[in-house]
Amino acid sequence: MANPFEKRATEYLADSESFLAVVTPEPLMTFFKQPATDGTLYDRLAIVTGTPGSGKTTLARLFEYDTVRSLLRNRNVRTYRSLADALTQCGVLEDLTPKVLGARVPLESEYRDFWEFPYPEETRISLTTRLLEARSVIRWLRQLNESGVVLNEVEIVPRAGAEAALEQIGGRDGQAVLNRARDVERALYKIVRALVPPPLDSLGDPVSEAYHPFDVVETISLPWEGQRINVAPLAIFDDAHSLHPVQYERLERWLTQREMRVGRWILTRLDALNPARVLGQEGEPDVQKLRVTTEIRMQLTERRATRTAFRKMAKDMSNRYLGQIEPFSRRGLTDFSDLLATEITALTEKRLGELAGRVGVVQRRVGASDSQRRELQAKVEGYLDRSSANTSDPALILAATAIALERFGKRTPQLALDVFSDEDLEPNKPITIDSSVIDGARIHLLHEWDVPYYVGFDALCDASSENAEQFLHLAGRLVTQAETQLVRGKRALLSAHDQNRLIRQRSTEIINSWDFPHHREVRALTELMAKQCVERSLEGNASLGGGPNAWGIPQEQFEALPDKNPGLARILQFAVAYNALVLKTEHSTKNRLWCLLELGGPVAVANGLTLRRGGFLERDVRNLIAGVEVV
Amino acid sequence: MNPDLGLRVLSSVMDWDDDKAHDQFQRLRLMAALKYDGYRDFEAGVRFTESLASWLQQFEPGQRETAYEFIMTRLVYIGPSEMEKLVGQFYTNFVHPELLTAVAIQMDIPRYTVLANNEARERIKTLRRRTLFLGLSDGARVDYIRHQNVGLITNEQVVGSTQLDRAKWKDLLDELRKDVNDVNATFRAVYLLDDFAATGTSFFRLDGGKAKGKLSKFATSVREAEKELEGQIFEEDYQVFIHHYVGTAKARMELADRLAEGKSVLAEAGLPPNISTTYGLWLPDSLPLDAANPADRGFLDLAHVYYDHSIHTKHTAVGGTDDMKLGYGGCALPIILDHNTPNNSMPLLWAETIGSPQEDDKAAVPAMRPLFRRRQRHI
Repeated sequence: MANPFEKRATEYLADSESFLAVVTPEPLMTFFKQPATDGTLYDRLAIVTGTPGSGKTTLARLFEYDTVRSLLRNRNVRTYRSLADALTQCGVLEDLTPKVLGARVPLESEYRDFWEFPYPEETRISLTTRLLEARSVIRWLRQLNESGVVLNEVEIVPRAGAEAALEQIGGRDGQAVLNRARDVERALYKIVRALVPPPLDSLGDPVSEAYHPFDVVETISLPWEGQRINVAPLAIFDDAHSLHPVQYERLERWLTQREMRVGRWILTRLDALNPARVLGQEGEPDVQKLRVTTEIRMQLTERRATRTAFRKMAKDMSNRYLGQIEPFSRRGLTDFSDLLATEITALTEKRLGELAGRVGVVQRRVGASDSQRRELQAKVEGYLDRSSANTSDPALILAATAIALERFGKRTPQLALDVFSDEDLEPNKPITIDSSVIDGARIHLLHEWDVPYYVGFDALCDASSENAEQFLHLAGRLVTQAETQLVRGKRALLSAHDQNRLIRQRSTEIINSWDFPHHREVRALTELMAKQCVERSLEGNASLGGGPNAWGIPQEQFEALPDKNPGLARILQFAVAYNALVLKTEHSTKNRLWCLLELGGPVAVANGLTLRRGGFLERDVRNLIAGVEVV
Repeated sequence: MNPDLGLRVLSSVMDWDDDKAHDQFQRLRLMAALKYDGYRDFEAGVRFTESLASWLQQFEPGQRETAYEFIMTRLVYIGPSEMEKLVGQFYTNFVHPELLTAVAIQMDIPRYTVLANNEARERIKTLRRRTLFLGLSDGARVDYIRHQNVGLITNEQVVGSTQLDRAKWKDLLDELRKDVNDVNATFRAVYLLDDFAATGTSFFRLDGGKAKGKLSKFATSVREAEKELEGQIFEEDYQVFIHHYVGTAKARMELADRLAEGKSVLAEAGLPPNISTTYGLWLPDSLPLDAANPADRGFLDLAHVYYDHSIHTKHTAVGGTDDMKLGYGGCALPIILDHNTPNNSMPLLWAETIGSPQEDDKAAVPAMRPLFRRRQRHI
């Protein structure tokens, strides 16, 4: 099998077994378990949004009956058990029996063409929805048929009161319903694929005849291991961003009808939504909307939880992928984090001496005595000894001491500075050493002494902005390097220096490959933001610890963006939709609410910025407008 | 051999660091999988990567980068998929247009009206059936021509050789006459097909005023068969189309010139005056290695140093050069065909010799190691 890290899109995995071998259950639990438990996943329209590569199609495939069936067929395979468990918790399985009949209908193909036809809007939406219904029915029944179920033994169970309409979809018999759906599809396909749009009055039956299976079908009854079971049909409309915006909006409205009994999901990138929705400014969804739709955003807003959940998912995913690569599996290397060394090579004696000299310069400049320096250094050492997240290292101690000295200088009253005094001057506020000082020191060491910063599995996850595809792009580079080392007869372990270098290199490549709409403006803005963030990060006293990696815009200004600066809002929409920026709205600092525009992982990494969140530069909309100007 | 072992040896031979090895491994794996591993002379366990590692070892460490870069950036490898495309296009791009023209002339109607004319379409069918397709070598892929043109060309008008015996010629004629329902029918055109022409000398050349090569052998075969059959196989002034799927700039120019120059000799051999040459793919003028091109100089220097004159024989002398440093005819081509490397390609790519040690006043001769070993037809 080819390197799965380089083959992220699961559409390329043709059969269900190879798909199941690489898929992880974590996103199911993170995003779908709750609505499934609440009973809001299958009874109304669910809109699943996410950035490209966040795993929408993977999840859609996982809910398909074909996949569920393969999973049950291989239920004794150890790695599948966690998937079966996750699907059970999401209501797809019960006692290893399917409860949901999922069908993924990609919207990439001809649906958009209907919108270009010279017909009234009602006709165009009617053609679109009818084809979608027919294709969903075909996919449901074909999957059953392919799994060995005889379609004559499949029975459509209509919702109460819809018995009369049953005839219009072909009756109760599975085979007859499939035949009817095929006829409808064929008739509509002829229209959509015609070289010249047929005249409106010649469309005839495909438009005028009643065919609304979504309004009729409640469940589908089929034979299963010697008994009859009822499954709830689920239509998953994938890649809805391919539709025309009005077409999308009409589709969404159609699917919110409460009469429908089939489960229906729309999966879309953020591009398809309006800027206000993407930028999180539609306000609280009204009660009415909550009753008819379930919104699942595949990027959590609670950020601490996001990082933890993503790291868990990334670990599971990368381990599964690693197991697929022969040179690793042959050697029993199945844990991705084992490939990443965490020990940072110490600076050479000479360079360490230079660093110590620089600390001495800072000490003299701020007027600290040797004993005060020793005291600060002891605090640093003490902190590092107690810290589980950081390893004590002479260079880190010196860099953190330099920051502490700078802070000492800032906090010592300058008027009292008396070089002839024998008494040590004390700062007006004691210097404390915490994780932010250490992070600041590590950033300083990265920029000034080339000491690796992006090291270890967690850093790799955080550099991915919680996006599976981005994670795989970054991890893929490390995996191929480790594989190269194996091929060359070396250990697979990647040094901290190599990890840092390769992740930064790959991040730059990711940025260089941006080609989404408005990418030039987004690039200009992120470059400016990064430049200013780096300058601030390298301040001697590291006032923001590891430094900023975001701009903060007053919340009220940001909320007014879609109305006052629709062009800018659109640019930011694409920046968010393609992971160049990550939004954190309503961030409270200094008694004010801010919207943080954080640089996406690859931008932060390429520019050597901290991956810790929260540090930001105070800016306003005027800065944003100036920032998106392409020179 | 484990493919990873080949890469390991290669990276050691090339003295790469991990980053360079990483990039090159990706490149090599891709190219090997897509193309080079399909070379017919490679064997299981010793395919491209392993052969490359072995080939590079014949050079001094300082010279290996030049040789490696030549392979990675200058080599042109024509594999089965490319060749099949060219074979697949042969009928549509060459035969069909010629038939249209012939019928338009016959009926004196504009060419663009031919397919709208029922009679003309019938004539196309007949003329097509009266066209013979002869392969000049295995590379002509007549099997694929048959496969690609089912319903257009019958098996009884495609033959994988030009030197046919009397029985075969008779059989071809009998089948033609049966199909067109005419006891006197003859062929009106012949396509002589081959995969590759670098100089075209093996196809046709004048040697001491005599015609040599595959074209004259074809003429002899036809003449002898007509004598034995006591009748004509081809009509008077039939057409001879010489089609190569791939041709160099040199072949295009020189073969056409030689055919014009040898017109009278060819007529004496019984060939008609209507002989034309066509090519499925024209290789550019810039393809051969050229000392004037700074990028080529390094590898040309290697070709002079790592040369064993024993590969120069009476057969290669026909190409008109005193040595084989640049390949047959001095073509200096960087080209490989998947079923065999042409001898017009740089011998450093394909030649295999044992060399000889230094003896008295004779300098040592290096043994030449091939990357894409050539199966020699003339030993």
